[in-house]
Amino acid sequence: MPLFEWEHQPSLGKTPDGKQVSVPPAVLGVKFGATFPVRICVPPQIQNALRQAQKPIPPPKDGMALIDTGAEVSGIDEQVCFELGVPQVGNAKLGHIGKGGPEERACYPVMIQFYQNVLPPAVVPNMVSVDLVAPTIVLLGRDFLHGKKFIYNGNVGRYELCT
Amino acid sequence: MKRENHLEIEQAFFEEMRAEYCKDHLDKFVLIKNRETFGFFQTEEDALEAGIAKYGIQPFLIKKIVPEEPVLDMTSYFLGLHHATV
Repeated sequence: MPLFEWEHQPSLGKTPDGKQVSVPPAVLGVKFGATFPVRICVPPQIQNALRQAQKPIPPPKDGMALIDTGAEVSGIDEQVCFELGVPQVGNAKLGHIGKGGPEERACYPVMIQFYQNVLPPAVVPNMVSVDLVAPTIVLLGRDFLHGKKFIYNGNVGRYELCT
Repeated sequence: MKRENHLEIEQAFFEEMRAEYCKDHLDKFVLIKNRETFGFFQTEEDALEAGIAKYGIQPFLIKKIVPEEPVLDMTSYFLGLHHATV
């Protein structure tokens, strides 16, 4: 029984000469990969501290998560962390291919809520920050996939996550 | 562009203390603020909870105590594959 299943829906696109066409899910799968909606929130511990200090809680950020089998660890868009106002709580070294030396990136505490709560909310105390392009705001790497089965059906732009 | 690192002091202190930490606290998580070791925790969640209780919403360092800093692999990210156009 899958934890969740997601399928790209046919979308309208335009040909180079401006003609409107329906883009099939399989093509959307190639273009966008295994993505699904998520909400990034201030973790509950920080929300409680803000309430005690009588400070407003920054609103959550909505965007897309990309399941990235090429990533050892998951990463959060750093701009999202700035907008949530969460403090830096760590550093991590990310290896570069073809460039000189690893890159040091800040780590932040965040909470990830999954669309329709198909998975319970996950508080990540020390998530590595990366620079992403909207609407992608989080990469879910092999640490997220650990203990799960991920099935990608490129024929129909559909994928499943199972235990 | 050089990114701002709010934990340079803490990171440098951790490196000074790494070998010492490893003797008695291997694989635990240490909480550091400025050049002060606040405590050691079994999980990152516990360290985060303690850090917020002690320091509020300001930067503090949570670090897993291991002999060497790991280098994490995010191959597709660094190859720019997320931004590739077809």
